[in-house]
Amino acid sequence: MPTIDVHKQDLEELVGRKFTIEELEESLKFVKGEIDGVSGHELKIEIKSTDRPDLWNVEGIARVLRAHYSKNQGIPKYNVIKPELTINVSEKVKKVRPCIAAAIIRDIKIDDDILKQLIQAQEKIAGTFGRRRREVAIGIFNLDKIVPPLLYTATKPDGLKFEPLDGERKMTPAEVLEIHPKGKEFAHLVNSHDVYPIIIDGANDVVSMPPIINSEKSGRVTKRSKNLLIEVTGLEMRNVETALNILAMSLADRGGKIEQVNIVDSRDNIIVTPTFAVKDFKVDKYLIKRTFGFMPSDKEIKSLLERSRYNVVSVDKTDDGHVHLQFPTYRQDIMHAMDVVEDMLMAYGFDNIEPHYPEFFTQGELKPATVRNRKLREIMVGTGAQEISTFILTNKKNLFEKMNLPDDEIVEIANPVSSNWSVMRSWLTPSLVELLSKNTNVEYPQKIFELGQCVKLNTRSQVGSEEMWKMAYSEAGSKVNFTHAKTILQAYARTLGKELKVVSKDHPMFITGRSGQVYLDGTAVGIIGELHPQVLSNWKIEVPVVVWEIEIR
Amino acid sequence: MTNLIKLAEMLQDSEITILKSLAKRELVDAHKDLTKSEFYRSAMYLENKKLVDIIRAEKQVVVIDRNGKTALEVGLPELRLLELLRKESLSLSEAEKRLGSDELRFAMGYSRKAGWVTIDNGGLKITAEGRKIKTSEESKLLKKIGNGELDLDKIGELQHAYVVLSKRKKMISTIPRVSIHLRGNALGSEVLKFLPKGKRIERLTPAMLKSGTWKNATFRRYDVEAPVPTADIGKKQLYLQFLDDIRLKMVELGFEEMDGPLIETQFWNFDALYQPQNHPARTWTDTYHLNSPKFGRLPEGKIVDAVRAAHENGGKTGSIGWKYSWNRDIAKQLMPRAHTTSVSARKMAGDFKVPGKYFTIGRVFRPDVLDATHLIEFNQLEFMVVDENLNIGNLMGVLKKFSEEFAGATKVRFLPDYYPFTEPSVQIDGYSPELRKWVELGGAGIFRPEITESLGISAPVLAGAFGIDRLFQKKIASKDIRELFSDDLSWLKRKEVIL
Repeated sequence: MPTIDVHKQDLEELVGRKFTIEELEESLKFVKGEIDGVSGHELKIEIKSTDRPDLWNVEGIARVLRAHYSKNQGIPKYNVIKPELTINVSEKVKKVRPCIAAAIIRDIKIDDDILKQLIQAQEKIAGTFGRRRREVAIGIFNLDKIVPPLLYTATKPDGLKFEPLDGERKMTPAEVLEIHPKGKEFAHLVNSHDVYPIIIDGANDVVSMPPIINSEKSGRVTKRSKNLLIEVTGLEMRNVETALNILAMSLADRGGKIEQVNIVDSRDNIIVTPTFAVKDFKVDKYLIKRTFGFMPSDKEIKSLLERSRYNVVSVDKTDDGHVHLQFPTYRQDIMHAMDVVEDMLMAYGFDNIEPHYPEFFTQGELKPATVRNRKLREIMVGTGAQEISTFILTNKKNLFEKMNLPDDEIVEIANPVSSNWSVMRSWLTPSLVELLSKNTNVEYPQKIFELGQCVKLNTRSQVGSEEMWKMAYSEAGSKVNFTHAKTILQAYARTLGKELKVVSKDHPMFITGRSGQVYLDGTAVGIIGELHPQVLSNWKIEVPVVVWEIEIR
Repeated sequence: MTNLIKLAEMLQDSEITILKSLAKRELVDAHKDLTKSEFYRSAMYLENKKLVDIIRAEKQVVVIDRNGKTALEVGLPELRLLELLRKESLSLSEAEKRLGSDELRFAMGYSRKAGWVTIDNGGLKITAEGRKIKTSEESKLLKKIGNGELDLDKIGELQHAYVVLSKRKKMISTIPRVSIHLRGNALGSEVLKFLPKGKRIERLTPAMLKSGTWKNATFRRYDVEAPVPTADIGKKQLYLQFLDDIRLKMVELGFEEMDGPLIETQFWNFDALYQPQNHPARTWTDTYHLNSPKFGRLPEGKIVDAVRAAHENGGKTGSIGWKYSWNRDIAKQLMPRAHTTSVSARKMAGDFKVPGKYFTIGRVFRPDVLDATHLIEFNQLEFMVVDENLNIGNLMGVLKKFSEEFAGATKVRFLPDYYPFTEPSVQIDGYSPELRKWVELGGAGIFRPEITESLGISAPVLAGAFGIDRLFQKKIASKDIRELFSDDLSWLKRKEVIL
């Protein structure tokens, strides 16, 4: 979730009110925010709304807080100047990165706070909301260095040379991807195409190579820049426009004037950005009543909504009626009336709601397997063994090679973080032996057991696999032999009232002549034996080890 | 007086033997009538009771090392070389074959220096001097040490051999040993006067019980306050036992346990929970994918259509949806489940009673790096409470109840939160007096209508998770989360049970 750096005084000026840290903590609940760190006047604020990019900068937080501390409520209003600048969009770029929107911000006085917030917002929005620039990438330019009109097109990799920001020399687009740090980082977003997106100005100078890098010429924004161009490119228009609106609003909140831009495609269709359109929406009053646990008065409903920056068109008088409201289009998180109700709840404050445990009667119940497992584990504890719990994730080497067994087909992870944890175990014994191998300095004899889940492939199953519980026991020590294992297994079987039969059967994991198949009540359920010296040596264990493992049915 | 009697009654036969001897002379490290271990053990017992004085002196003893042990069994390499050459001269390679290269190199150097062997045209020959050699000082010393130990100051005339062997690789080593020097004292001789008369019983035997001979005998008094050896007992794994406790608590609160597969389709792990298919949480870096098996099957019936509609345009859920074209094949992909919410989803689609309370505790898997604060696989406590008219206050009530029951929290606070599956969402913090700060305990919300309506449920479903791992860590004061799956056998045995 986004964590943003905020200068406390900057926030206070934007809200128009001073806060103590405690007050700020309280009021950040309106934006699902928490103070994550304070050093002097510098605050780190964690915004838990991963679905609200409009809250990921100080202006966005202030925009909501203003509604709670002043009469500046409802949908925030922004005046726009009619467009003069045009961006022509070439057909060539449609297949690569089809969408672009832009805005001009005039007469902005840029100071350190603004610059910092601007860069931060750009990073958070393109990084998180824009899925690391894939869905949305943002460029901000010094408008006064650009010659209109602009052309958004696609270029060959060895096309027009330009000096990228911090690039120190002119490069072809291909060189940018190869040499420039940003080029290397984001090359994968474009290099599967044979042409790359590019924005060129009226003087045929490259302005930007979205979503990679701006040009040094116009892409360097400093405190001396007075008029800015914001350009957003991406894959879907609604995301591109949302990002543009958030940045434009933030700069307007700081005194900039928003001027629109014409976006003209090859068929001369014109769209104008940014617009601050609103959406009409209806919320069932019943849903408010059900979720709140009571019906707030119509006046209160209106107030809660306006403080949450909705416009209220009307509230039906009857409880089964609707609330008609509007919200700005950049609130893409609003998909269901419930999203609005949550905003109302936050405005109302959880502190004003009494927790009330639902007391209706239900019969609690454990799964039969849980009850059974607990009893089986208790039997094993009664034999004096220590219970262990190990990971289901493991690797093929442990499961097979180190146990003297040929590889088998099992559940395998395609993208393991570590090769140590790359498959799901099909049996428990290797986990037990691994634990023994890590405890060779601990006093012997060692007796351990585990009741754990194992996974096998099964194409007939809905989930391509089959899960089962297995019980495994192991004993290690210089005087340990097969009889020890069978004695415990016999005690286990007898306690369960099952008839145990061990039928001699050789197995590569065990010493020849010292292993067998385990039958409980006539059904083959597992194996028992004394581990082969080769297996012990694979695990660097220096005492005899006996094991048994059975499937629980 | 009573103390002296008690002390006397407690003495074992071996202790009495020592005490009696000490009345005449002092003892060093041994007593002729006792085994070594009996002697040391009894001396310790007597010392603990202050009945003897012990002067400990460190001395050096010589013991045989790994190569020395072999030499003791088959002979020193230089002597074995002489043995071979006595019968016939050998080429270097032949000698190497019989002795091994390491041994030969040493044996040759040694024997040539001693003038026992010569090398001639790559052949080894024994000299007249060599023929006289039957044994060596070193060999004698090895035999003297044998498998026991030899006091350094008792080496005597073999001093030179000791120096030579010490320099050779892993032949012998000299290690410190504590020698004990036992001396009688006043209390010891006093106690002897109080030895009980007549037969003393050490162990009660069935024969005694049968014959009744115990009636005329006294039992040796035991020092019941003395320390005893540690017993190894069978024990449940601590964390699993903790999970058992939590399960029982949940049942007491009226919750029914649910179950679901570890390997799950993305459909149940994500799609049924209204997680869009292009969501970052579903990418290669955030979610495990499988090589085998790759695809599972989607459920029969209307559920898939309803879920698809919810994603694409909201369907009948009252939502506008994510507005993209939903792909069946993505939903069919299998994965180790990333959360137990998949179990809740399956439950809602199946045998789901309203009103009802449900929970599950199960393993989940995350692509992470295992370290002191991250597990790659852990257990989650997941719950659902459903009834026709549950509200936000009920949600907070459930969280509060769990905080009291599981964390013993007396002071809690609620914060708005964001979880992808619920709206509204609330986090609960408990105030920790020890840490003097708020600690996050759990989170919950009301399942998004896109989820519940698609699965045919119109009632609000409160759903959430509780951080049981951290709770357990707090209970056992653990700073390393790997202890939940500890592979340290001593730790597992030693760690006290949570009551």
